[in-house]
Formats: sequence, structure tokens, C-alpha cells
Amino acid sequence: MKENQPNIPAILAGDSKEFSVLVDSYKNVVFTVALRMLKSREEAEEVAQDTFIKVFKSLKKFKGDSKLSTWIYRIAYNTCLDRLKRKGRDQKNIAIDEIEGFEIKNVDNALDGIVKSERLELVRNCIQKLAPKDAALLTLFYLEEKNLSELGEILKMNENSVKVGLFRARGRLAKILKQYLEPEIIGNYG
Amino acid sequence: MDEQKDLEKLMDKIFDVDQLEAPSADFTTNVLEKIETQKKVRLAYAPLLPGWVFIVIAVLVVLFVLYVFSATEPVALQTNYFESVDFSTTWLSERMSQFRFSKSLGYSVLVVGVLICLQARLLNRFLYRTNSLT
Repeated sequence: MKENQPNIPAILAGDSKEFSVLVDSYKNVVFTVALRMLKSREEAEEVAQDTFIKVFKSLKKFKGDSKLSTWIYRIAYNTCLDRLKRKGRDQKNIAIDEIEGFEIKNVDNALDGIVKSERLELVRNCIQKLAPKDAALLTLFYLEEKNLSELGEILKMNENSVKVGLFRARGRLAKILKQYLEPEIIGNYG
Repeated sequence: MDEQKDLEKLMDKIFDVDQLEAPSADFTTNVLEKIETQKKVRLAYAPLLPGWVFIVIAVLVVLFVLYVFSATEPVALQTNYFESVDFSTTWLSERMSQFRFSKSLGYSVLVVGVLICLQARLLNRFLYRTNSLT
């Protein structure tokens, strides 16, 4: 995805073609994070566009202390949080009991029994049920392969908090998945 | 510990099938259009007051300054001026005849006026620069 790196000095000089290279390089990640945090395609599209407008306006302030991608995702994450605050939507996690070891194995086995195409839809539905912060954390960690330090920069958290946050988000996702897969798990016992 | 490993294994399996989602096909075009529109809006700078108001204010200030500086004595508003416009009571004209503009008041008004104009110009330039897109 990143072979075609945007030329920042050219963008600053007003080259809109170069800016479109930057948008094309990062739009899918920004849109996916926004969609998973806001749970609405229309809003995610709007917020993703606002993110790139903000990126364009403040690109001259980007000093290269962090990766360009990390900087862009931080803007995207903050724009999503602003939108959630403005709409007064709850950003907190729903209280979910901790998942037990044997339940993880059951979910794993049940998942094997589902065809790959259906599995994608199932996973997306489960991620939609996560709190915005958990959804952003897992998406950036697994799909964008950001490390703990980069995740900390994006989410304004220290590495330990990111580690704990990731562990809890994984547990919550597994628990949600278990609720979706309950019939298959029961079927496996039968 | 095993539990954590199992959980990580499960997550790897989940995200192995997960993919990034794509926005609409015209996403990039829309972003570029929005940026161009914002650029044009910012370039079409419209002052709060129209030009003719500034001209009228400037003429009035110049006339006032000329009037104050042309007088060798401190300027007094003439009682007969108020009488000529036929006030029904003489109370106002009596009070106004005691009202005097000193030269120092003239200087003060001039200095304050110049400072306000200068500050407005500097603020205008500062805000225009900080809000400009490129």
C-alpha cells in the first residue's frame, strides 16, 4: 500500500495531484477506523473527508517526528472522537464478563466450522458491537500492524495502557463473537 | 498465560479474514473539491464594513482634525449655532457653550484613531495568514 509515497514538499507547494496520492494511500485505513468507531458509512465518509482536509491544512506543521501514517491516523482518531462527542454518543464499553479459557477454545472451534466468506461478515458484525476505542485499537493493531508505541501516539496513551487496552479489547471481541456463535457452539456439543 | 495465547491465536484467526473497507469511488475527488472550495471561500475576502463607510469615517476624522488644529484658541462650540437651530429650551445651549475641546484632546483622539486603525490592519493580516490554506 505504501510503495507510492506522497511527496510532501510538492503538496506544500500546491501540487494537488500529489495530495491525491496521499489520500489514495491512506483513505482505506482512515475510512475503516472511522466506520468502526462511528458505526455509520455516511458519517465515516464525512469524517474521513474532514480528516484529509485537516491533514492538508496542517501538513506544513508535520515535522516528521513520527511516521506520516501515525500522524494521519491520530488526526482521524481525534476527528472521530470529536464527532462522537458532538453527537453525545456513548464511547464507553458495555460491561462484558471476562471470557474464560474454555470459552475461547469453543469460539475457536465454532469459527472453524464457518466458511470464509461468512466469517468475514460475522467478524465485521462483531467489531461493529465494540466500543469506538476498542474498535480503533484492534483495527490499527491487526490490519495496519501498528506497534504499541505507534498506537500510544495515535490514541494518546502510554505503552502499558495500550497493552492492557488491547488485552481487554481482545477479550470483549471474543465474548461478542461467542454470543454470535452460541448456536454453533451448542451444535458442536450435540 | 495459555488463556492469553489462545486469545491471541483466536484474534489472529479473526483478523486473518478481516479486510480494510473502501470509501465511495469518488472519495478522493470529493476531498480535492472540498479543499478547492475552501480555498476560494478564503480568498474571497470580504471586509465587515464596505469601503464607502471607511471613506466617510476618514473624511470625518480629517475634517475634525483640521478643525481642531486650525483654531489658535481652544475650540468652543458657539451658542448661536444651537440658537439658530431653534432649541425650545436654552439649557442645552448654555451647557454646550461651556464645553471646550482642548488641543490635547485633539491629539489624544488622533493617536487613539491611528492605533485602532493600525491594530485592525495587523490583526487582519495575522488572521488572514493563520487561516489561509497554503
